Amino acid sequence: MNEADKLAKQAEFFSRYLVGGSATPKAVELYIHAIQTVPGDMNSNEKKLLSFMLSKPWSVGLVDAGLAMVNPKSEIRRRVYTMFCILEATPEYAEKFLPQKHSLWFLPVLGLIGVRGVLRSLLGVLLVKAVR
Amino acid sequence: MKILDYVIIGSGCSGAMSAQTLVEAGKQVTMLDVGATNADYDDMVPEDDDFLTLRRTDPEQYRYFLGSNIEGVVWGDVGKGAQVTPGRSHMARHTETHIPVRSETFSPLESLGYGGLGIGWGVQCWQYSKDEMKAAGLDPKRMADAYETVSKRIGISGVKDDASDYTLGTLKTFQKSPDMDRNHVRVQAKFEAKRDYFTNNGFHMGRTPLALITEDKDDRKAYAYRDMDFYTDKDRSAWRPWITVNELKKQKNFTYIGGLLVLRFDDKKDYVEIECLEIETGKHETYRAKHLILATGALGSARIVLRSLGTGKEKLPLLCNPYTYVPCLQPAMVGKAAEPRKMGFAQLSLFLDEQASNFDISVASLYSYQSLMMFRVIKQIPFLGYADARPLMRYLMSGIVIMGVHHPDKATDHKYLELVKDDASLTGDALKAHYELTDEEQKEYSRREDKMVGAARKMGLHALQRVNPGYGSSVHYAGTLPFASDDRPFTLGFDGKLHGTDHVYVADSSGFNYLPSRGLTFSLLANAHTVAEGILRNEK
Repeated sequence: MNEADKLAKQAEFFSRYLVGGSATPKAVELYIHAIQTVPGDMNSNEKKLLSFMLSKPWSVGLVDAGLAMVNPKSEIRRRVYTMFCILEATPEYAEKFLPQKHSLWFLPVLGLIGVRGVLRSLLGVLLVKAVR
Repeated sequence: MKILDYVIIGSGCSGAMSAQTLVEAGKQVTMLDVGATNADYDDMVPEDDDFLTLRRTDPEQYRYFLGSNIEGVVWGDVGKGAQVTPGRSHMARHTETHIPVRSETFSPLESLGYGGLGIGWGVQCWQYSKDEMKAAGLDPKRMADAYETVSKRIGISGVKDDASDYTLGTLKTFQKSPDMDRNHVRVQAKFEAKRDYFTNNGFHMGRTPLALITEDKDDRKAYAYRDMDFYTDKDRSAWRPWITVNELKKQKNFTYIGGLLVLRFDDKKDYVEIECLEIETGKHETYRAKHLILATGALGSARIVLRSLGTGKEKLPLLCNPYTYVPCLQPAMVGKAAEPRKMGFAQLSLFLDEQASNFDISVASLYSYQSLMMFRVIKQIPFLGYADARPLMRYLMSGIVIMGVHHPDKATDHKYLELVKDDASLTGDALKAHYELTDEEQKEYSRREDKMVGAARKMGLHALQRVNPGYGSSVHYAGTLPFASDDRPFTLGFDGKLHGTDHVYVADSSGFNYLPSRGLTFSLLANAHTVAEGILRNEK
C-alpha cells in the first residue's frame, strides 16, 4: 500500500469514527493533501498505535479518547483533528456540526453521551498503554 | 531626484486617514507600502449567501473556511491572531522575514498587508474619555472634532444609552446599531433587571459602537447579517483601511506605490530621504519628500526611527493592553438551532469603572460564537475524544459567548523595545521586545477579571475557562515614541512631529503616553487626522 492509500484509509476510518459515515472523495483528497503537506512527527509508539487503529477499526474511538487523556497533543490526534476540520467544511456533513434545536428532554441523552465519552476515554487509556 | 510633497508610509488605519485629510486638502500625496494582498481569496467567497447556506451547500467552502491547503487549521495553542482566517492570512505575510520581533515575553502581530492590521480589525469604535485623552497626550477638543470627521468618513453605528459616556462619548454622527442576536438580547435584559447591583459595583453596559454601517453609505451596502464577517468584506459594510485607499487611488493627487518596505530615513535640510527595499527584487530604492509621515504602527514606526536615528543602545517604552479571553456558557441558550441572522462582531461592552471616573477602567467585549466553526473550540475540550465532544458541542454551541477583557496600560521599566543586530533577518536587524507586568498590575488585573467573571455569572454567562494568549495578543500597541513637551530624542511633539527632525511626523499610536483599555483604533484614526491637519496648519 503506498503512502496515499494509507492516508486514504486513515481518512475513511476517521470519518466513520467522527461522523458515522464514509468520507466524500473530496474530503479524502483534502486529508491526503493536508497530511502530505505537513506530515508531522510520529514516534515509534504512535506508529504502532496508528497501525493498530487501522487494523482494528473499532479501536479508533478508544485510541482518540485515550490520547485525549494521556497525550492530547499527539500526532495521531492531530490527524483525527485535521479530518474533523475537513468534515466540518463539507456540505454533506454540515448538519452534524451545526447547532441543533433540542428540548430539555435531551439533557439526559447528553448526559449519557458524556458518560460514554468518559468511559471511552478511560478504556482508551488502557488500550493506548497496552499497545505501547 | 524629484522631491515629493507628502509621503505616507503604510496603508493601515493611520496611513489611510492621514492620507485622506491631505488629499482632500489638495496636497500631492504618495503612499509607500508593502501592501501584501490575497488575490486568491478575493473572489472565493460567494457574494450573496450567508454562513449557514454556504455551510450546507458550497462544496468549495473549505477554501475560505480552512484554506486551500488547510493552512487555516492550527494545531498549536491559541495565540495572537487566533481568529485570522485564511482569507486574511496575508495580513502577516513577510512579517517574520522582513520585520521580525525577537522576544520570550512578547508576541505581537504586525502587518505588511494592504490595509495593515485594519484588515482583521474587530471594528470596535469607542471614544476615549477626556481624562484618558489627556493622559495619552491627545488634545480633547481637537480629538472631539476628529472623531466626528472620522465617523462621517468611515460610517459608525451605535446607540446613545446609559453607557454612552463609555461608548460613543461626544459623538453626534452615527447610524443606528445593528440588531443584537438572541444571546445578547438576553444578556442585556439580565443586566437591566439587576442594573442597580451592577451600577453600585462599578459596572456599565452598552452597545459596542462599530465601524459597520446599517444604512447604505456612498457605494457601500448596509450590513446584511450574513455572518461571514471573519471571512470576507465584499459588501464593505465594515470599514477597512483599504476601502479608503482604493478611493484615494482614484484621485489625481494621490499615488500608491506597493511592494516597498521602508527601512530608514535621513532628515536633511530641505527634504527627507527615504530608503526602501523592494520586496520582490531585494533592490534598494530612494525617495525624497518635503514631509514624511510614518503610519506603520507603534512597533513599525519605532523600528524605522531606531534604524534612522539610533545608536543601537536605546530602549523605547512599549505599551500594550493586557488581554484575557473568557469563553462562557449561557445555559438558557443551549440546545437552540443555528441562528440565521447573526454577526461575528462584538455587540455589547461591559465596563468596570470602580472609581466612577471614566479613567483606569477595564472593558469586556461580548461576542457570540457561530461562524468561527466548531473546530476552533473543540480542541479546548479536555479528556474527550472528538467524536464524543462533537454532539456535546452541537448542543452547547448556541450558548457560547466569548468575553474578551482588556486592561489599560502605562509605561514601566519592564516594557521596552530595542533594535538589535540579527543576521538571520533580511534587514540585518530585529526588534527585541520585553514585556512584563509588575506584581501589582498582575494582581489588580486578576482582581478585575474575577469581578467581571462574577458580573457575567449574574447575567447568565458562566465562565468555562480563562485564556491568556500571551502579551502582545491584544494587537493594541502604543507609546514607543511618546508625546513630550521637551524635545528629547525618540519622542514626538503633540503635533506628531518627531523631535530632532524637521520633516518627519508620526501619525499612528506611537505617541500615546497611556493606553486605555478601550480599543485604540478609533482614537488612532482621529489622531492621524489631527496630525495631518496640524501639518496643513503649520504650512499656512
